[in-house]
Amino acid sequence: MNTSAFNAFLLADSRVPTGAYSYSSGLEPAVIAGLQVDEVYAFMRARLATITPLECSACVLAWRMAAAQTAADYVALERAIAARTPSAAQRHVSHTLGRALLLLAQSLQLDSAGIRTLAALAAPPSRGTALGVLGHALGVSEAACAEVCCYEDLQGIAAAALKLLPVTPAQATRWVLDAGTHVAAVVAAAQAVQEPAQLPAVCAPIMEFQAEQHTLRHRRLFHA
Amino acid sequence: MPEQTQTQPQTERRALRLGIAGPVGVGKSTIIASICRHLADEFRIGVITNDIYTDEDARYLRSAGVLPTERIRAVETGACPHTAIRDDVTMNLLAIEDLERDFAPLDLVLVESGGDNLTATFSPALIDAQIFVLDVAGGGDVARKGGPGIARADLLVINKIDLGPYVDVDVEQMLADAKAAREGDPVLGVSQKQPATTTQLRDWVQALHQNYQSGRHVAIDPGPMAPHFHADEDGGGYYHTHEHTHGHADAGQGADHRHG
Repeated sequence: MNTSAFNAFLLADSRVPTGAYSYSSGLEPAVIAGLQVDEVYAFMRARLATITPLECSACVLAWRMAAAQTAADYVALERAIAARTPSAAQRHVSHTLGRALLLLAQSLQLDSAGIRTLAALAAPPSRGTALGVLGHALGVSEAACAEVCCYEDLQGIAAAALKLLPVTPAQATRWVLDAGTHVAAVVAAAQAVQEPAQLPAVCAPIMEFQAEQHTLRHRRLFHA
Repeated sequence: MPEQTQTQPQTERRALRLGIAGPVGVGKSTIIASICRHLADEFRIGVITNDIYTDEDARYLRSAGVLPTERIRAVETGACPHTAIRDDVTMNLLAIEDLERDFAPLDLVLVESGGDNLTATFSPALIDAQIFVLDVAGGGDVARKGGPGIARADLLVINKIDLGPYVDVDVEQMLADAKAAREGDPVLGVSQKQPATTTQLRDWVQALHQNYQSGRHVAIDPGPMAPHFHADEDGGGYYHTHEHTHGHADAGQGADHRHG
């Protein structure tokens, strides 16, 4: 049996096949809209304050449900997430990433009731939901799983910044380290959520608008 | 934004998935357009393009009018075209799955790689067979240089053979070099200006599809292992690939090393 920490590393590793290279955590649409290199760190903080708390809380609730495994619970969770994600483009992205995580979970043939329940739903899960269930199946703790959820979003921005802006790899990593000091608070808030109705509903209208605009573009490196 | 549905297990034999790889500008999109043009009446076809920076290839194919536009979809590779067809094929798998669901049943799904380098090949986890494309304008020596795609793709296409005289490439020599590098595996010189060659390409795809349908086709991984060069006394030599492990330590994945 792998240690919980080992599997948490695995879950956070971009070399594990989940199609992460296709996504910039919203950075490319922001850069096209004029975001400058010295604003990337602020962008990371903005994600941590808006988009990520919802995903992270969903991840925690999904992790807890993975043991109980009722389809109705997941459907209710997905409805609550969708209600807090007004941008259709962002919902689509989240579902695609959730699908990719679920595909990985199925390909790994993990023996998990949560994965079987998610796979049997009519629609694919959101990223946060899929991550929570996959993390649970891998024996990753609730808190570590929530932390991975935040970490991946930040690293997604950092990796995309290297391709989109004149940034040194060390600088991008420095930003992730610095933003990381705010992750514990996001995780703690997520762990305080007890049911889907309590999921945070924080609007990020500019990012939502940019996400919608990005779907109409022909020239783009990243899907979102 | 279309609603997404879940991954469902495949029961009956799905569409043949054929990858088309090769460096930038060799004519991969043109080859795909040619295959579609010849086979659109016979096969139900879908296309996935992997562009590096744009959906330019998808748009070219849509504008070529060889297929209904909605059957041609682009996958964004985040500047990682190699990764998207080899190390992490997730996004391409999802795109194929959607295409197959939306236009079921399909007979043939063509997956175009982003123009990459000579080492980029498709993972057998993504496709059933692959064509590697070079062109004479890229230089007559490229086929001789070898690489996993050149040596072990199911078919090597040398494209734009009509350009040979304009770029000082001896097309026959290049085809012969390619055949030597592939140890007899098929090589096809193609020019859109020479209809007989595009017909040969069509025939190859038809035969492949037949083999696939009957279960005779076995997916081959061209792999990261570059072919080896065996030097002759007279300074010539030939490339080949090995299935077995060498007694000496390899320099690393994809490394070329010289025997002899």
